[in-house]
Amino acid sequence: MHKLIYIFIFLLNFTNVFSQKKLNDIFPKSAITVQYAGSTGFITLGYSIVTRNDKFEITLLYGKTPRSFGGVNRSLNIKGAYNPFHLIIKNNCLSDPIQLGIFMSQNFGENLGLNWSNKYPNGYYWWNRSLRTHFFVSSQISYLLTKKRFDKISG
Amino acid sequence: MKNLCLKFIKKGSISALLPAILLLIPVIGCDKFEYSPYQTTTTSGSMPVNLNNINIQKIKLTEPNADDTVTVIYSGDSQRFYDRLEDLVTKVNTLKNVDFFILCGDIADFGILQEYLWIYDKLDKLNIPYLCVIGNHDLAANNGEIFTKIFGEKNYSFNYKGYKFLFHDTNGREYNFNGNAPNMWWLADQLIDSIPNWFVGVSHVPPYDLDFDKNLEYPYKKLFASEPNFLISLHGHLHGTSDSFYYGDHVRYMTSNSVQKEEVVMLQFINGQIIKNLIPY
Repeated sequence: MHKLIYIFIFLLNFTNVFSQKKLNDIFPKSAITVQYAGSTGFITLGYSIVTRNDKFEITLLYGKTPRSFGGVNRSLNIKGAYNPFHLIIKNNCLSDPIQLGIFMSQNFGENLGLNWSNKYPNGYYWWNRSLRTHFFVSSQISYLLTKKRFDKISG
Repeated sequence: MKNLCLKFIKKGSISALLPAILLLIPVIGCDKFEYSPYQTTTTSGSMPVNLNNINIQKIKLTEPNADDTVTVIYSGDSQRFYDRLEDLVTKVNTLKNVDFFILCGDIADFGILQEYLWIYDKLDKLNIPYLCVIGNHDLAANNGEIFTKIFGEKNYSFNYKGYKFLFHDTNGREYNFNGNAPNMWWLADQLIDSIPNWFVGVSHVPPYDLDFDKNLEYPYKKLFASEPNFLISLHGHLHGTSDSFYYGDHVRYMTSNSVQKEEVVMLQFINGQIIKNLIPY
């Protein structure tokens, strides 16, 4: 729980330092993101803010894993991605064959509490079982919907 | 959101999405993709299941042709010691006349699926059958659902060459010391068996440890001591070797190193006598 609060404070500070205007200057584009798999859920939906040159993006994602894969797991993720190069497929279609980045994932599920139960002494298990940090490599296809917006499909 | 969706449709982008969807179809459901670290089934659905039962059948197949000595290699916690486990498997494969290998709980560290698949890849290279018992770390995620899918029941037993091996769950703390782990009724029932000459217990947490249900420690050791032919109780959890008649009765209590300690226990059961050797790897 403490870690969640720290993340929240960090995000608050982040938005203070980078005021809305500055944020808009750095990330003038936005996108709706649909992602298949990638440890965030069977299907994950999100909203991204993207730099002018499409090199960097920050995405807030919500994913869900169906019961048939073991309980209903949901995840809330914040993801930072770097796109080293693009391939332009069409005027309105862009591909990022390789995308690198990091994301933090808070998982919620039937057997996934935010804290360890009281039955354990302090520090009995040293890891946080529901908050995870991932490094990732993925591919992405983006479609231009408006002049400002590319919508993403990641895998 | 609604407006965005409408724009999406108006601009005919759904047809533009088709190539991307078509590209994804061949890889959907492939094990290279993980939906969640906590999933209990692989993405393709194919995974090892019921391994303990399969291995018991393999052990029993050798019984008619084998001598009456039972030789067992027994190790504690494998957790994240993948490289050492590989060394251990290589060593065990060089040893002759070993009947089976026991991994005494904490197979995985975080209890998540990918760890079990990595461990399975190593164990599967053993030339002899192997049996696993559940540890507290195996219960830390999904309440042991992955362990039971891959290995089978938490409590199981089998007879082999006159010995009855009782594999059971002693991870009391994981059940908030609710009086059901170990399952005393199951254990008592197993000891009412006239076929075996001797009994051997196998579980993760030793009864004198703080993670064992304190209310069950006395009945547990008393039950074992009440059976004159109960030879030994094998455990892991402590990551080190110990060997004593802890409660001063005839039952021997032993713990084995965890896998990273590079030394494993070999036990030979000969007519109710036990010869113990430590084997480095």
